[in-house]
Amino acid sequence: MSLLEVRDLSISFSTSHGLFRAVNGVNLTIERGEIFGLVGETGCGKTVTGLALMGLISSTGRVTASRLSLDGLNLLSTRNWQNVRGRRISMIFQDPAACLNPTFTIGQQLSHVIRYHFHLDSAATHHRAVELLNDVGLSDAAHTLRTYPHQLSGGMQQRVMIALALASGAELLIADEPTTALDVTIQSQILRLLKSLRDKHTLTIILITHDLGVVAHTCDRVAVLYAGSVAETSSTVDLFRNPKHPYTQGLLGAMPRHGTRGKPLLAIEGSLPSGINPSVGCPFAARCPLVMKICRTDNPTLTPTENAHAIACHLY
Amino acid sequence: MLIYLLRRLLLAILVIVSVSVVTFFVARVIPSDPAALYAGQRPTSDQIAAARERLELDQPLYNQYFRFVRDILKGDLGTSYKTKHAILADIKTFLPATLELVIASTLMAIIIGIPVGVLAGAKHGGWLDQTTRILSIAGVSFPTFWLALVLQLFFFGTLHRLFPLSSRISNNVALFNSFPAVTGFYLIDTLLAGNFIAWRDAVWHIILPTLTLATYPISLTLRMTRAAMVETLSEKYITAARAQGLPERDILFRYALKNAIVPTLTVLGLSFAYSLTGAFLVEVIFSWPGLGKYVTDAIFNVDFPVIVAVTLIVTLFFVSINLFVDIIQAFLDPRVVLR
Amino acid sequence: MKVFTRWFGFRFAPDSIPAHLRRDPLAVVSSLIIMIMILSAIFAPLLTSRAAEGLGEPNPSEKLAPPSAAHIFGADHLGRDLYARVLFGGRTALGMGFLIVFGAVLIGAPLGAIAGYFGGWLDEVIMRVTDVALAFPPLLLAIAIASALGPNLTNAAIAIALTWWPWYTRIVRAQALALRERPFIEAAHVIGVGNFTIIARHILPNVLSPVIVQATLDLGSAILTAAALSFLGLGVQPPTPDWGQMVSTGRIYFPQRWWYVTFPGTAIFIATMAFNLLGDSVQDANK
Repeated sequence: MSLLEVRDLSISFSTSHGLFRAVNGVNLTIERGEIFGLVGETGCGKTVTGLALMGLISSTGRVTASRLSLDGLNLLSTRNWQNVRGRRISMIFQDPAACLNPTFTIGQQLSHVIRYHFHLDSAATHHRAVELLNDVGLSDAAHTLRTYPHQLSGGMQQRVMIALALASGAELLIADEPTTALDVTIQSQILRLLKSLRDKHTLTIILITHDLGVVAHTCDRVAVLYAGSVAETSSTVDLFRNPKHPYTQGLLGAMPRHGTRGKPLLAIEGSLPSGINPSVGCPFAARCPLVMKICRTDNPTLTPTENAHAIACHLY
Repeated sequence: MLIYLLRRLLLAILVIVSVSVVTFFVARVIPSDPAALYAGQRPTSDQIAAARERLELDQPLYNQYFRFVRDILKGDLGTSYKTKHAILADIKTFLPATLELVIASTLMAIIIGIPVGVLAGAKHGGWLDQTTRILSIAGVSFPTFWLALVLQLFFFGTLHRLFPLSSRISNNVALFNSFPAVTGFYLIDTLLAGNFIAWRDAVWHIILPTLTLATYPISLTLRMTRAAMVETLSEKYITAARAQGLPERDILFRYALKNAIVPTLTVLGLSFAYSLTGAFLVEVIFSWPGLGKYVTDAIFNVDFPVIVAVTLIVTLFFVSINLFVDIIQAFLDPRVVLR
Repeated sequence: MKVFTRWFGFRFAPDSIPAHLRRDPLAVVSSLIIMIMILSAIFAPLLTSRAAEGLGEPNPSEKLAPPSAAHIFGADHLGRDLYARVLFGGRTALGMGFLIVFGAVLIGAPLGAIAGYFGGWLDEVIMRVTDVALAFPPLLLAIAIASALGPNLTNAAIAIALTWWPWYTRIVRAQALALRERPFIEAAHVIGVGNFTIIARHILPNVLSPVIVQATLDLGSAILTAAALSFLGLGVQPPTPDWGQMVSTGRIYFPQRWWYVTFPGTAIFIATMAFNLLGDSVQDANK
């Protein structure tokens, strides 16, 4: 059985301008122990999808799905999210400096989470906190525990965030743009850390990012999100070797890489459609270089092809 | 940290010095003649001249000021023109009464304002938020002196003399159940003496003045806590704490409140200091024998040494409380020091 | 007494405010009350047949008359119609409130503009003075100043204004700091316009609108503080009609003659509340 199954996930928010559809019928299947990339532009619904899996959509939002199950547990009928959040799924965010409570030391924050979830005594809690900090590559744990967040560098802050996310014993980690706010060198360190945590602790990771480079280096499988729907999903290798959806092809064309020096980078014309009054048909139709008549009237569904590759496009 | 505290201390000293200068010169550059006041009713010109010499008013102004400062440093706040009492001794009897009132109302502000503010902020836009919004705006709009009268009318008139209208203790209790003045705080002195009849009487007397005085700080604290909570709860570290599976109760009263309380403390410190002067109005109405009664009588008699001394004492409190708040804030939020 | 409207910081987007306010029923109600107050202060003589009593002429035959058809608010200890007194008292209250904020802006705004525009040591000096001034206990300082200057309307207003100006210095400084970087200021500088001309012609007019809005909202606290001074006998003197002074006098006859303190007291409360409500809504709209 897959660890996480998401079927027809839709999320909308009521705003003063009308109903905003952030996510429209997303389907995802996440296997145990993999790093799954969720890629797309800003505003395509990646973060909201992550938050929905944690039951953290604010009261103005509405989440619907035909299936949302974590290891057999139906998240749709979950009343007590306290048993899921942290304990089963944890999440880290883009800006670690803003995600750490500025008025508590790292030690206080870590031990609070550990003690709440595992009811350990203070010696055992301290021991566990040191262990967690070592796991995320912070060697001088005793010192780090006494510091306040603002005294740490960005990379260290993100490591602490990861430790906090693991402190509750989660098996699934949603990492929302975990490296975007960091320097390039620190970025690759954090990504390597995530990979090693997956290997050592059989953690499953959903990596939300806009950066295809990050996906290429880190993820096993990937889903490309466009305007709140999955445009294409496949293994990472397959996606880069054989991108099928015109949007994915556009994204890859816009990415600088070896051997393309001197050739112009391609940009995708136009911008994301509005989530308030979505047009009928394929959401990408207005920007698609290969648009057909049917694209303007019918929204394509995600259709599997060979190699566990699925595309939502009328071309296939 | 040390540099931060030194800076604050320096500012505090600067404030006290400038207040002493301002009040001193304001008091000396006035149209009415202090010597004439000092000399008593219908003085002769000789008496006035004698008084002038005695008060050293013939000296240059800056000399007078240095004398004034030197006396203060020696613990001499001067004598009242009117009663010829030593002002320091007067203040020692009046100050505890005022402080008792101000501390009681600040405690009410903390006990009511902070928890209600947290709950209003947690569900902002909800019914509690809406109601407390109007109530607290009303609370800061009441003229203190008029609120006192309304409460008197309600509790004394309508509710059949439920609470006494004036003074700190009933005459008969003071006569037949007297207790020694140790701290000057009746609520504490009566307990120290084990005199529960007098304690109950003192509690009964302090309720209405405290309620009057507390309305403003309660409202202010509530609104500030609420605003700070709304802002704090929208912070990313709150979402992160939820993602770590922490329960909502801990998030509100531990994670969010510790951050939200930092600005609230500033307001609490300010409102404590404001209450010191707000108490003046309340004391006048409830015949509460505190600094306010003392200073309003002095205003009536144009008794400047008293006005200057009380201004200085209150400023001293004002400044020390602000300093105290700064220190607590630095402990609560280590980033404060960096600003 | 004015921390309340002050505390939440100041960010201004004046264009968006009216639309937000229209959606807030409390803002509409409070604006209405304020408008009625201003109009009734202006047209006070037309709204009562006892204008002379309102201005102070005694009417001994009706001393302390209870509320009735002839005197809907009752009469005071000199037999004057309290409705007329309260009506004319509105002129005093609004006039004093205006005088206070005007005085405070007059002192505070130029200092803030200078501090923000020049920066450097001048800024440092002005802002430290402001810090010190803010650390004074305001009501007490006002009491000391007013009692030294002698109790009357203008002196009370001056005394309060002297404790209020630092707030405006802070607002204006923040705005001037932002304005200083704007191209039209730099352009004026480059073509050789003098510094003080720039402050007077370009900085002050541009910071004026937020200052005026804030000053308007502060009228409530100004009225409240002025009433407190009058209550202590340090403000408006009889026979000039003033709410604070009326409550002060009426207190002697309380609680038997409850009407004497009730109506002027309510007037202070409603006036202050209206301005504070509006201020709160404006702050909401600013977020």
